[in-house]
Amino acid sequence: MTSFDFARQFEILPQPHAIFCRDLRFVAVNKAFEASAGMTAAALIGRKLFDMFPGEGMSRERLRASLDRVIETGERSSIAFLRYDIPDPNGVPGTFVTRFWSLTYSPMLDEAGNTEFIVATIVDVTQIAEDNARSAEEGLEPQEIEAIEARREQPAPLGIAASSEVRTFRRLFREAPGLFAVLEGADLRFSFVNEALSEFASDRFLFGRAFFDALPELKEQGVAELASQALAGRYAVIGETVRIQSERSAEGEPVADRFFDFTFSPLTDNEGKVVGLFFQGVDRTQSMRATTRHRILVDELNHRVKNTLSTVQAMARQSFRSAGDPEDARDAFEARIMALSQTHNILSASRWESASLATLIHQRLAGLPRARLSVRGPLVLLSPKPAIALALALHELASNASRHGAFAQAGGTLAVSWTCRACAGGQMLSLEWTETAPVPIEESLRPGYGIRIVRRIVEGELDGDLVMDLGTEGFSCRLDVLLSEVGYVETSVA
Amino acid sequence: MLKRQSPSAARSLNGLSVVVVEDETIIAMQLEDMLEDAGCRIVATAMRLRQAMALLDEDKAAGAAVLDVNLGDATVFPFAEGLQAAGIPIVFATGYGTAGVPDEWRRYPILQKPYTSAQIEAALLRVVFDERREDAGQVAAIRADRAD
Repeated sequence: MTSFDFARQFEILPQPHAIFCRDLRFVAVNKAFEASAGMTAAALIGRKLFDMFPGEGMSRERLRASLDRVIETGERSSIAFLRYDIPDPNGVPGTFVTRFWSLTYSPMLDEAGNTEFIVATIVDVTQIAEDNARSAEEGLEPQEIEAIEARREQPAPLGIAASSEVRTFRRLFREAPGLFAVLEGADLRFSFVNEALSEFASDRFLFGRAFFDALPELKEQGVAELASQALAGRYAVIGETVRIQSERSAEGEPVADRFFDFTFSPLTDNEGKVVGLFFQGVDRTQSMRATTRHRILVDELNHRVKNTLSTVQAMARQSFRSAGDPEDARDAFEARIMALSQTHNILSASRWESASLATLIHQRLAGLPRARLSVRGPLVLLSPKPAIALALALHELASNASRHGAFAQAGGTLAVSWTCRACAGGQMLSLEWTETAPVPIEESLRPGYGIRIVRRIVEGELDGDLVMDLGTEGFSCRLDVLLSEVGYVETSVA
Repeated sequence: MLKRQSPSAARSLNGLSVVVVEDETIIAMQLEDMLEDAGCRIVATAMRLRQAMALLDEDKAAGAAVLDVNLGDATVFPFAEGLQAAGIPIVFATGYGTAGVPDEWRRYPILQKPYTSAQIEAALLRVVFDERREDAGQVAAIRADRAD
């Protein structure tokens, strides 16, 4: 009665099953196996597995090794994913069709504890493998996601479970952006490789090869150590931001190093024995680059702050140096700080890329009577450093005009104009500052701090020429600098 | 050729000829003021690497140089090499601090901007008068002797 139940149970199992004796002759097959193989039990029983399903190459070797392991050790053995071609069930004898399988071999032990029979549980995953190729663009259905979420809570067995879950998992891992692999045995042979890992390996052949033979570059950097720890223990071992020295590209150009987090999680059989590893790799190169960029930005900000403090320090020294009225000195100092600060505002608005010369001039002349001003010139964009230098020079000129020049008397005017023209070194930016004073100015042109700084900025910092003239009609100056020294003219986009 | 000015007998900056390289005008002017207040004489102020390199060919003498590191798109190190070959002591002054100066130049004093006149004076005294404690200074001094 009992044996009848078992046999019947075996017969109607939905997955293909076969039982072999120690010399790998078929002892029994169930209905599902017959359907899957396209052969009857009568045609198989008593025949040797490799006579009926010869397979070839590495597939045959892996199958043979897995079966030998069960016979020798009396322990369960699995192959998670195996391509194994079989005789075409509907075709001409001698023709073969490609099939993908997941296999688990369980020993039936005799009283002495030796393997007497082997029960093979087989899942035909051909459809899944083909679907994976076909449905790469498909998204996941909500219930599929649910199934994955539920499944994630459980330890993943090396053997194969119900095929719809296998299908979902495979597709999830195959197309996931991270690197994934299933590694079997102590030598960590690849039995599953996802697309991202294939790409990482530059399409080297991985399947069936030992992990560190196939990817020798990972042997260094402590990755081999991670794997052996995971094999020895029962816990996932994580290596964070492992630097992978890149090989040279096909053109011989050095490629930037990449950074990965690697995880090896032990895969155990039903008895808890570690039979392989689940490998994950997450590319952290982008985030490492972001971290580096962030550090550079912070360094640059720090540098800019230190330079600004130096500028303010220098302004203070110059403003308070002369033995004049302390209140005048304080006003001059504040005005210089404000000029610097407002220039920073203009630059900030363009994320410190550039400042328009016209905007800079208008800002510096903002406190002067508009009716007595004329400002004209083409659009010129100044780089940050020359923008600050020019702003400080213009500040000194405007300040002089207010205190001693055109705006120190009624009816004085100021015209600022600039042009760009071709010259030997590229383009020359020429700026003319022309004040008119109805009442002749008698003060001689003495090199105060303001005048000194204008000269030094134009001739030194901007490597240009400065001509100043305090005619009786008013102060005027002309500065010529190479456009390439200070900025550029926006060319219209076609 | 730019040559080294012999240090004065007394440990003093009075009369020391100094080359200044600084690419921001008002900071350069402040440094000149600080140096002049300390009794130094400014040999020249360069605001560009090109201007600085031209100084190496001039028939002048400098007892020391204070160098900003970043000069727009260039760094000051090509000029610093010329100074080192001539045995002229160097003080670096940079907004980046020590981090802005490669290892091979860190034997020279490095001032972080902003700096005070006291810091500049102390650094100059150190490179001009205490160079025997500086291996690099010693090598440079020997080279300068041979060049003579």
